[in-house]
Amino acid sequence: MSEIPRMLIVLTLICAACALLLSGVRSMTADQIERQILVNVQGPAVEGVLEGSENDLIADRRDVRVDDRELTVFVGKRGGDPWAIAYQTSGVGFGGDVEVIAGFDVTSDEITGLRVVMHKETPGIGSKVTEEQFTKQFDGRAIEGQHAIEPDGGDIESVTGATYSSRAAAEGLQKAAALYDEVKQQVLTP
Amino acid sequence: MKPADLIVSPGPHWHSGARKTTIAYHTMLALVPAAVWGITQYGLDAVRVISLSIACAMLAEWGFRKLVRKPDSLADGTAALSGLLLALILPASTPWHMILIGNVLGIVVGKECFGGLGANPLNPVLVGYAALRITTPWAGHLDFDLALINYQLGYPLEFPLAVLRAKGATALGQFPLGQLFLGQQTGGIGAVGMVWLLIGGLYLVLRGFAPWRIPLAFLLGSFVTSGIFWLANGELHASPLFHLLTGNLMIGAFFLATDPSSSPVNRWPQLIFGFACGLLAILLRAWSNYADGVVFAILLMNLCVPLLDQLTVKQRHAPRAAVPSALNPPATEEGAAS
Amino acid sequence: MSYMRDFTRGLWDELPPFRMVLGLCPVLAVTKSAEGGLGMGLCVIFVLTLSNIIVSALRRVIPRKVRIASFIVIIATFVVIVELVTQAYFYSIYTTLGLFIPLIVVNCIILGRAEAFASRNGVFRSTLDGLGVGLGFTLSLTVLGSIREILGNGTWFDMPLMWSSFEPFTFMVEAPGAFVCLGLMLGAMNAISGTRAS
Repeated sequence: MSEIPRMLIVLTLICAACALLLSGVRSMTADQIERQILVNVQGPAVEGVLEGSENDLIADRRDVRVDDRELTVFVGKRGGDPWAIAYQTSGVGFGGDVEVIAGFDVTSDEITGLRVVMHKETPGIGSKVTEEQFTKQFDGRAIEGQHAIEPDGGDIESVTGATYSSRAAAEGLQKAAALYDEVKQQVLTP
Repeated sequence: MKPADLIVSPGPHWHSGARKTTIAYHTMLALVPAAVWGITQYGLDAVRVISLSIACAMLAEWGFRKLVRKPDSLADGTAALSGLLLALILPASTPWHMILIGNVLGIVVGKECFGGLGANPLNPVLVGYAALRITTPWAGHLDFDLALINYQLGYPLEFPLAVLRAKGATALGQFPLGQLFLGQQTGGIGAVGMVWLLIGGLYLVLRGFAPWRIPLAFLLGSFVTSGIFWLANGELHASPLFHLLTGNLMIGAFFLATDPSSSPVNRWPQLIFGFACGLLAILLRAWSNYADGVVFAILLMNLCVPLLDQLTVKQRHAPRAAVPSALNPPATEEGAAS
Repeated sequence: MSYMRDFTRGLWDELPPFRMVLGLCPVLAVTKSAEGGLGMGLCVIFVLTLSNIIVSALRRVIPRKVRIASFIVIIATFVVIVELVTQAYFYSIYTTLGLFIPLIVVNCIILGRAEAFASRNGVFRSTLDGLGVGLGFTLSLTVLGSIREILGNGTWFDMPLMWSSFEPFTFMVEAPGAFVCLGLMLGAMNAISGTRAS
């Protein structure tokens, strides 16, 4: 008869010990994991869109609050002055969120580039939105104006067979462009 | 009454009064006209591919059987036949390492690992070819347009099926059916001489070395399927005769699909098998990533053969579980020990 | 003598993928490269040894009826630790192994050793057993990964090995190549052990 309480107690204790252990490891590694994602996933994209910056882009990132959202903004500097900013937004694609990082030139108000950093689109079809063929279309566009793909009446060529994924990338850019004025203001005022 | 002690073993089963060796040699004989046609087109290159391929296949079988200490079986001619068939569906410019690996994989993995002749569920030639085909960096060597770019022959050197895929049926005016029939088209060394394959195939069928139902149903299946596509959209899809006279369809119907141990043994299963091969071949040509899908169609249907064979196995003498079959081999000493 | 036996058993007689034919899912999936095979093997050594130690230490405490549940909780804990640590400190291995790190939880080898060995033997012997079986698993995966990477990619641990005009036989790094390669290695192992026995 004492078996059932014993089972319960032992299993509960094991689970509790495991949970304790895990939360310890989790809190020890959380910062490092965030850094790894920053360096390995966002880093290359940020360096791509802020090409020509002279500062350490990862180190010079800062958090701003826009519309009650925390946004990590990467600031590219030349000769000590910020010349461009980049931050991450997302659009809804075929297989989930398509996360993009868009870079903006704060002096000329132009788009410096767009990179897809995380997505779950179909390999070989939707995944082609990560390729330069598609993303280079955004380089040098004025931030003002609509950034829509051709099927939606815009002038951005969508990837063949991947309208949803292309639309998601464009949607990410539109969201980023909508935040631009406020982000720029907050970043440039010290 | 004691149940009769019958053993259902894998093919070859039908009886023509010939031994398997005779069948292999007659099949090779039937392939000679097509091979000679290929040699007249591509010259020494074709001779190189064919002889190297046969040598590799025989060496692979001899070497593997030596390694696992099984009696030598080269004299039955089936290894040489495999090598010949693989060479005939390759382009004349195939590099040596592809011929070697295709044959070794086909013979060792496709045939000997399953227990040798008669026990292979897949056609070894097609196993070897498929392995080469899905190796992306080698695709250029198997793409007839790229592989045969250095030849000058008196007819358009574009693979008809690739043209069909890229430009639709309206661009096929450069390929008159008569020319295709005579083998004046690009493709595998021995797969293009349609008239010669037909002659060889009819010889096999009429002499009873190959079951006539499979090629007949194969051709019928592809004819009907491509006919439906053609009637539905004649600008996009080619006519049935064009499909019959291009790519690996003819050699597939007569020589690849009729491999004794990877095709069904009874009447209806043979008809279903052949028809489904033809149907799949056309579907793959229309919708897959490959210009010609005959090889993959036959491989897929090879996998269905045990199921098809079940259709007509009579269960009179013993309950199902007691009948040893290819899927249900009788317990060996090894099996009993473990 | 018998301690030695606990360790060496996993290296040949009960070599996980080839002799016991266990844990094949990661074996087929992560051995596209030698690095993937080695990384997976090291993760498994860590999880297997620690879970063996804990299971063996708690073997008199855990009631029989909930033993599987307890084992799984313990194993899963170590797997999550491995996942967090690789993500934090070995990011390239983390991206190579991806989904297959969490899947270590359901790797039959680990639960199998916990059930068949650690829950019946002392801590020291279980440690040796875990190390031995884990090492055998690692060696098998590294060898399989090396063969596939060298033939299928022309490199070994990302070092170019082949001549410059070598066209990789990518069949080997695709799924069918994994089955063919594993099958041939299984056959070779059986042949060798058959020869040794006779």
